[in-house]
Amino acid sequence: MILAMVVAMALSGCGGDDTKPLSLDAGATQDVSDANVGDAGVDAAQVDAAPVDAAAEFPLHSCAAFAKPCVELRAGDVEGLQEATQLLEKDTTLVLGAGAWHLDNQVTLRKATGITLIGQGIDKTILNFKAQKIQSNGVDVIGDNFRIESLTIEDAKKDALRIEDSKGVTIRKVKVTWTNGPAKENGAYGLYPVKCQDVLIEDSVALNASDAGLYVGQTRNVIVRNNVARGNVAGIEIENTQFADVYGNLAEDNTVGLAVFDLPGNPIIGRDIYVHDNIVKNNNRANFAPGGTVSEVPAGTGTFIMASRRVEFAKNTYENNGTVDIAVVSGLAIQNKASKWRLAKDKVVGDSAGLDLPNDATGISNYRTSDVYLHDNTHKGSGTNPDGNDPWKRPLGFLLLIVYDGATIENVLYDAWGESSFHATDAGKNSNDNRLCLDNEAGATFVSINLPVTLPAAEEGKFAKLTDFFRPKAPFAPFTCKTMKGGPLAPVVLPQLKK
Amino acid sequence: MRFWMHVLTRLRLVVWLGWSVVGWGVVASGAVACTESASSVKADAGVTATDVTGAVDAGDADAAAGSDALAATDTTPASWPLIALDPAAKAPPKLSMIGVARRVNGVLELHPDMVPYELSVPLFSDYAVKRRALWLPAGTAISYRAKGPLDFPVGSILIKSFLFPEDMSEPTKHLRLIETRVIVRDKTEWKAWPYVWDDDGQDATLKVGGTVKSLPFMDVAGNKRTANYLVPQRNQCLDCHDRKDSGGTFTDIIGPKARYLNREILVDGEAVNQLQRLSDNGWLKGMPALGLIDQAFSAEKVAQVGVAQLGKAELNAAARDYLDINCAHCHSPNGVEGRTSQLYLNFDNEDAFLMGVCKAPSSAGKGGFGRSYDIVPGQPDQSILVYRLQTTELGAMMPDIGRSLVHTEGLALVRRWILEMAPVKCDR
Repeated sequence: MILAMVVAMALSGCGGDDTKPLSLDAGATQDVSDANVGDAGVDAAQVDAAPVDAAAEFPLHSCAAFAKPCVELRAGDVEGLQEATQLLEKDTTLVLGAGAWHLDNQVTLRKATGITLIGQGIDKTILNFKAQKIQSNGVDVIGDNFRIESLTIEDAKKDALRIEDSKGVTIRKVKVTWTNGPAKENGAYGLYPVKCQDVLIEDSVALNASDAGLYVGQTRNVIVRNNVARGNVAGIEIENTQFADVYGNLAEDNTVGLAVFDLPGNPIIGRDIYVHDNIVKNNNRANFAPGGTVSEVPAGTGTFIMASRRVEFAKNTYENNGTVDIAVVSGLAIQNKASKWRLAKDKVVGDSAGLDLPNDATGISNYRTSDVYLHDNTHKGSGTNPDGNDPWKRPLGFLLLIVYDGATIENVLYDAWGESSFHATDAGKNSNDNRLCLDNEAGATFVSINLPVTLPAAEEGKFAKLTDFFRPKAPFAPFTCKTMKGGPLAPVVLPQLKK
Repeated sequence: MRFWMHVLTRLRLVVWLGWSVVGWGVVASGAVACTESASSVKADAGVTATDVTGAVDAGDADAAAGSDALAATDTTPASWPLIALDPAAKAPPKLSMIGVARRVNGVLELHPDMVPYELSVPLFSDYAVKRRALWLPAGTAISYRAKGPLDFPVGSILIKSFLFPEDMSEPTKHLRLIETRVIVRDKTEWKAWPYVWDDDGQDATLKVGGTVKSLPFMDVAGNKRTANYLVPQRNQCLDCHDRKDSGGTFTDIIGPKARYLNREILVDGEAVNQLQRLSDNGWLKGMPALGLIDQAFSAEKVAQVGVAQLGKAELNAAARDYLDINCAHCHSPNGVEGRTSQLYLNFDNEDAFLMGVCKAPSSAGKGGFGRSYDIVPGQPDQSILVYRLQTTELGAMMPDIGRSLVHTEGLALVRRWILEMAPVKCDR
């Protein structure tokens, strides 16, 4: 073996001549690097210092419960973790011990499928990025069939947990937070799967993000259940996403509790979002976003549904959201150039068949909000304190503050953008072209504010009067439909939940 | 495993001793053959344009970069082996085991079979001086491609060494050698291995987990500052080097494209076109006539002419090429992460909106800095793009990897480019 290597080295030293260079014997290289690379940090962690007290350091999860390959890393072994996350074998489990980890660099996972990153529980295994010197996210992943569980991620510079372009993602019992409380200096997103497919987020906690705490974007097939979002600008955001089931969550004390929307220019057209049995309350936190679309949302917004379609909200509990519980608005309310919402048909990703969207021979536009079905939600105490603090940045909040002038804003607000007819008093003269359905909204109130007219007027200082708005009594004709075009939403089926 | 380390240590020792150890007869005969090869590459060692010296000062206070260091190459027996790598195997733990470069008396020497090359527009990396070189397996050549990186044969090796000046007012002197990155062409993609130079400067060690190096330096105004240079983790390499298309995701190289290699370099004091030289030497096949090849607007020309003096077309070309090399590895339709933003800064993107004009970002976070659009024509101070280049705050700055300092000259270029755009009112 030695001789073989030496020959190889000597001969190939002449590379460029007529000698065909020889490759290093793969076996030899393998042996060498096994001793030095890749798992070096792991070896060190297991050999160094005091013997591992498994019961104390790995009380909840250890390699005993996982198939090989599995690596246990003791709390604080940052170098071991950074080495172990490179060159991972397929289906490796990394078990992180109980305790604090102080990282100066992002934890980056790439090119490995079936990786599990699992700790000893929320606030037991803590990855802290306060001392981060390089790159901006906390845990940053691209890789199919990824699972992260039972740990806390703190103080990332941008996104605490970013998972991109991956199929089969499970986020379970993960807490993401910024430890100095809500502040504009905090990172943007807490849990941030984007451009993914088959995503499960459950039993997790997202706190204090300066954009969205729990975000799902440009993603297909999602279940978001039994999570808590507090102290964020946006608590839970479902953005440019198809086929999502969002239930059992608590969104509290955010600027906006739970939002479903599309942004212009994104290639996935949002559709089929089922939001039910959530609690959305006390979302009155002053908007502290340093920028971005969410910086334009008035505080006190329970939910907004914008530029989306086939969206069903059922059996949610709304309480004490100062501006409005549910706002249903067109994408043109934030970007009124329809051309910005146009996507070339060959760029569209995912399933946009059967959606009733403005389109032409080569393009399709997703600003329209249609087929929104609200039923069996409860409402209490909202609409008494609209956020009119920034007329330029958040004109809708300012408009409501001025127009309502102390009166209580209705629970459900509709902008009537795209409707062929609007009338402030005669229900029969209001169209329902966008098919907004309200059914059995116990104790709810409803208003349609004709925003395409009232917003530009307000921007010129001419404010509508309350009598200019359409404020029907229940059952809110003509918005009384009970079906969505294309039929009821199908249940979301995730492969990782089939077993 | 320890036994193998011992063997390797001995081998390395042998390498540095010039293969003089008695009893390694096979080695000696190899070395003879190499002597001929060394003499035949002397012309190569004469490449002296700013970036391609075969050896550079790497830290010794009085050793000058350039010709002095080059003389060392000529007087040192250039007879150490360069090992062809099996890209499918694991990376050797020490750089010396590959032999592409070594360091003698504080001087970084390329193996004489390495072909130094330069890019006309380099990626900004905290003012690092970069030494690039390539090596091709015997009997192979690069295939020309008009678009995208040139097509290198399997087994090709590219290396890039990062050297940091102590004093930015003398950016090519007193350089500290930090990292040599070895990039190897496998069957379907490239593999990148970061080697960090040991504290004793004798060899460099593979560090797949990366490291952060704090590098004190004097800025041009004479202030003491510190750069946090990231030797990227293997996975962080992929942030820039992974490309995705309909065939899947693969790791690619960024700089060695025809349009960035299409420039003059000095060989034996004579200016020659770099692509032409590669072609004339048989290292590059299928190259069309030079006049038919796209040429990026070189950073050196920007520096010579001055940003303020560039004409409108020159300004546009220079800024687009700067953004292309610094941003488009992510911000292009093939960038795995940049696609999320739908901001495309590749030089050949012709859609102004997707280039950022009046485009609201989807998730800029504090990188938005309260500004509404990526580019507001005529208004650099209203443009998010400018803020992201002028800040060093993590989570706000761009690129988000590979720099901890502001690239003042690049920022000035992009600012003026936006300033000179015909004003457009972006607001709805």
